[in-house]
Amino acid sequence: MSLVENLNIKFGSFHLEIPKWEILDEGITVLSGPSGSGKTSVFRALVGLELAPGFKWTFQGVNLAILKPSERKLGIVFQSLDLFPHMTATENILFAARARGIEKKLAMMRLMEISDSLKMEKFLNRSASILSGGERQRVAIARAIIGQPRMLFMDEPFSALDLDLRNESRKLIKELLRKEKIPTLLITHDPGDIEMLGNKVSKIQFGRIIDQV
Amino acid sequence: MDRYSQEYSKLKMTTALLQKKYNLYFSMQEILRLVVFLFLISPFILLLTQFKIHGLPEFGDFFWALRNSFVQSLLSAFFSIIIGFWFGLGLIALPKVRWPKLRNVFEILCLLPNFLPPIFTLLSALNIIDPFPMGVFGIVLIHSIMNFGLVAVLTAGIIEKKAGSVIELAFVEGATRLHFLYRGLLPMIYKDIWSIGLFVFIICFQSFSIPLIVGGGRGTTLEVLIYEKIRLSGEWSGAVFLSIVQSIFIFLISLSLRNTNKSTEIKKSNLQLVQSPLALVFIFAFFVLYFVGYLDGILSGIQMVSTFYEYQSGILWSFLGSLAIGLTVGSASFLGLMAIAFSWPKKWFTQFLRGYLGPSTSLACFAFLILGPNGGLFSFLKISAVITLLSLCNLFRLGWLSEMNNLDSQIEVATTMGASPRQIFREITFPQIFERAGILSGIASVWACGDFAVSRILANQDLSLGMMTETLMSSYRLSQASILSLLIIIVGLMCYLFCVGGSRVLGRKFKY
Repeated sequence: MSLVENLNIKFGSFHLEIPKWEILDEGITVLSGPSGSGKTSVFRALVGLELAPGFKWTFQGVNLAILKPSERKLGIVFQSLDLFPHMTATENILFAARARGIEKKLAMMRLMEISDSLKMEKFLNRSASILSGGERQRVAIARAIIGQPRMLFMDEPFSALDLDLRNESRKLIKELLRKEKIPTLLITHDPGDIEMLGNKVSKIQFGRIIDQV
Repeated sequence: MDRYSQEYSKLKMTTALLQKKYNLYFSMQEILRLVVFLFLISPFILLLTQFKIHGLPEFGDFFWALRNSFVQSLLSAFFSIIIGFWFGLGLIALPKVRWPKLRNVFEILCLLPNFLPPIFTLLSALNIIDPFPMGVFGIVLIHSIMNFGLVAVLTAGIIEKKAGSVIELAFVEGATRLHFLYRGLLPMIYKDIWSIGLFVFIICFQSFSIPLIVGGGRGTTLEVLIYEKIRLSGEWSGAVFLSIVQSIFIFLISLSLRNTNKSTEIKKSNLQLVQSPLALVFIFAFFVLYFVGYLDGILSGIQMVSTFYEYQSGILWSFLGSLAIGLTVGSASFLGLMAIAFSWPKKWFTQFLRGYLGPSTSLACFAFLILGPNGGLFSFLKISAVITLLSLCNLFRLGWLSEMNNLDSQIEVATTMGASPRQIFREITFPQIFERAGILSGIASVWACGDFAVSRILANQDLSLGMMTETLMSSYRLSQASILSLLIIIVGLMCYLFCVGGSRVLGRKFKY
């Protein structure tokens, strides 16, 4: 288990107040809640994009909260996916590998493995600007995990996909995460995601964790 | 190990010790950020360290000039908004999705008076309107001509992005044009229009070259008063005081400017309800008039071309001078924009750039005038430095801010991945912005080629084509001035192509 303590942030009249919260250090923890409940704020605070004084996050004996976002070594998939549009799918993924200082040969090997798992061979050399929604999502996930992150963070990664594609993607990702053994925090409000992917489900409302199953 | 190597390693060790002791670690980003910041506020620093404000200056002059500045800016913004809004309705009669090329031609026509050096608009207007109304009215006239096209392009974009689907809905439901304009469109976009109006107001408030030429004795603005205080009466402390007051005034107004949003795609919509094809005809007619005014000057000038014999050596040197200034400003602006991009984003820096609209032209010029020797190469360097400084502030608002805003999320993602600022710049930022940087620095180089106001303060003799043209214009030799301004177009085009081409070469060279 990794332990989040004293995560308190004020955004105008909205208060995010999490005194203690446990995230699995293997498998998938789902953080679920209605719109405006504070899911994305928790996500951004854990990633290090929002400052939260007094916040502590112990992961395998390391307090990640005091590290810079880049030093936390997290893999991130934002809701908007944010691929680099001027690069191909491969270039997007290898950018992340270079950022984490992974040797080129090893990065290429990892790319092949991940591309195999996520069935990406057909569009690896295609420009990110012309990829379909499902393809973009797979590239974003591959980009997030190629650097062998401590933990993978995904913010509503399936929200832009249609139902069939969503189910297919869930299966692919579940299999990939099982194989890669990367602990994951999934932010979602989709019951389908919770049912299919969640090993632990935490519910958030009005900025507070109200239930953990 | 030779002596120099020993000295170098000693210096390196001392630096490391000092850094350790005082925790002085600066990244390349922080240093660049600081350099850009200091460069942009350098005129204030220079003048405040040189001159102390002893008492308050004479308030009679101050209030009179402030009133002139305020009135001319307010009227200029008002007319620009009224005409620009109508012309904007004309532009949307040519939807980008359907007639992209024709729309581009009209947009370029509209933007031309704003992007060309002011000398062209002055020549055209002075050729057509005879006698020209010198004073506040003349300033308002020229400012309006220069800005309503910009307003039209911005307004058309806002209507298409924000109101496209609502206009379609109102059209289907049978709303009348006038009713929808007042009850639907204007309430929907009035904040954006207000913002554009403020922007034009600030541009006009800071304008120096136009009031200098057409202001006459009755239209002295704050900018011109600052110029006169230093140039004619040597009252440096009074000028610094006026400048600071003016900058605070502009800064306060700029606080109410809305932030540029990220660009959103324009969806195909039927805008028949509000579009105005008649305005399109007027845009065309206006620009025919604009070019006829300019061409009229050229045609009369051709008959007097033999009189240029006496100026031929001067023209050659001025041509080279303009080329040198244009190329230096273009290159320096490109570097400046890249430095901003490399240091992006940082909250205080971003807020500073958003709020800071640059120093007054005359203040910046005089600050550099007192810095070190003048004349010869120094004049060229100082002119280039001041134009770069003033251009950078304008270029940031003209397109760099939205360009950087569009990259914010990508930079954020890359940072969380652990990418270094260098990798982010090289692989994410630079490949996506070098072309725009080339175009913007090209525009700055064209401004520099046609400049006469900055050069007039910093140089005692005509160093560039802009200065020569202004000398002819001031002595009412408009036809000769028009002919000479043709050379400004040639040299401006050369500099523009150098910047655009150079940026593409760099883009290819630094492809990761």
